[in-house]
Amino acid sequence: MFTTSLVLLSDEIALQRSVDVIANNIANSSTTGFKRQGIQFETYVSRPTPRQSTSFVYDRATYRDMTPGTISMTGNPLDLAIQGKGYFQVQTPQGIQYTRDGAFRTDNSGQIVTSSGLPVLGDGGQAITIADDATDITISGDGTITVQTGTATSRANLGRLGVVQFENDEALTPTSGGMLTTTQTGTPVMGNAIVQGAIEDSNVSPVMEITNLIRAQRSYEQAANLIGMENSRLTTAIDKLSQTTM
Amino acid sequence: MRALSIAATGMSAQQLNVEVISNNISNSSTTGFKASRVEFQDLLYQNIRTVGSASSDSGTIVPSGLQVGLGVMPAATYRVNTQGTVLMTGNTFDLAINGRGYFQVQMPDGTTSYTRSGALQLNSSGQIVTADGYQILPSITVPATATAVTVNSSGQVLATISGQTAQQTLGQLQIASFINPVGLEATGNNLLKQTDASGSPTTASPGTSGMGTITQGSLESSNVDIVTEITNLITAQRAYEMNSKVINTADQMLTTTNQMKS
Repeated sequence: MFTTSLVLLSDEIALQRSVDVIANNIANSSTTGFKRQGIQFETYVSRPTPRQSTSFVYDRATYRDMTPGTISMTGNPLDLAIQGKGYFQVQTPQGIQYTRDGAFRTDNSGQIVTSSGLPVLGDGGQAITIADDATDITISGDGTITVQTGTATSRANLGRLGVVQFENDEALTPTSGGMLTTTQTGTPVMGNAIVQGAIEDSNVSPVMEITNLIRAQRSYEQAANLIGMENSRLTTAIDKLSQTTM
Repeated sequence: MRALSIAATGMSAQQLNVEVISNNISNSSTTGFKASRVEFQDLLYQNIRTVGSASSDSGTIVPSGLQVGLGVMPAATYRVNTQGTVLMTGNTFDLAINGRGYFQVQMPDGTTSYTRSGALQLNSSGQIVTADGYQILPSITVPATATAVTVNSSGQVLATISGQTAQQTLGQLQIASFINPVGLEATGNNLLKQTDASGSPTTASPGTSGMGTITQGSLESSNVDIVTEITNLITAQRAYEMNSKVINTADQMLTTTNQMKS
């Protein structure tokens, strides 16, 4: 008897969750390397009797939208953006994690680290240290780091940053601070993927998010209205039926 | 609803962003000033349905989970250490560093601070000091009889003394560099302090071991690019508005819920 209300309730729960996801996208519209999340709804069909079927709404999954973000120039030699697929490898206390946030710097021992101070790894899994007297840091498209040290006539090669890609980007779990974890093993990205002196902006599109927000809100109102109407229908039915039986 | 608190993290992050941008803009004429930028990171995620969990006992797995992020946090403010434009002033004690390095400043409390602002002067006893009267290290005293002072690109301070034909060397300026200059702590008055993150300073004469050179009669202007800052300001304001829109929407949805049974 309450099926209508329960169907609408499932809709409301799913819509609330989608507003949470949209809110997180909008809150991260200035987060370097952030990928917006989308939400997928699914129909859950319940067949209490062979001749009856009821469809509920079920928020099945969120997915990361891997569209590249705009590359914006900063001029900092250690700000790196990845063009196309791939992630930087970062050594964390929980093992190697991956990120697209390339706003790096050096720490007090000259290691290249993330903004949380975690070492960024090279293609051999090694941390990369830039000497104190190094000037003019150049990072080529394939991640090779060369510097000018002191009065040396040739530039020193400090190794290559390890950029890896994965078969399934969706199977990377975001932890926090722009970091992702996965059990997959990455394959190194070759070719010109790295842009020096630039960062990848968040790929959140304001117009899309606000539109989705409005749509979610209106659907929510509709469902709420329908629950109200269903409520008055039931009230009327109870009233009318109790009158005829008297 | 999480949306309310998520959007609140977004608003406070953008507020900080505007504060940093406004500090950059207000220091767009400050000698030796380096623009700052805020770095944002996403907060924790709630796993409602874990990615990779089994969806049946025949071994099929969920291809993507249901994860709701909990907002944004400012991770760091970040000085952009690019070279500012070197402007000619013609003043004898206006020194610009072209490249890496900081002037060392002796603070009244005995500690050393570092600065890129080379608008220097002489105090009553002829020592080279900053605009606040703090001594530049190593201490160099210009005699009262000096008619002209030259600072060459490698930091040698030379004076022409009246009555003498040869220039007299008064001292050698030393500049300090850090392995991680972004880690220096700004203390105001154009001064920076050493921290655990910056590492300890290496001092050398200008032009040696990767240090910058000195240009006399010039000042390094602020590296703030007004166009970039204004663009960032617009973006920050719009992002703030969008977050407030989310709060509005969440509020209206809660109102709808409250009015459901009318």
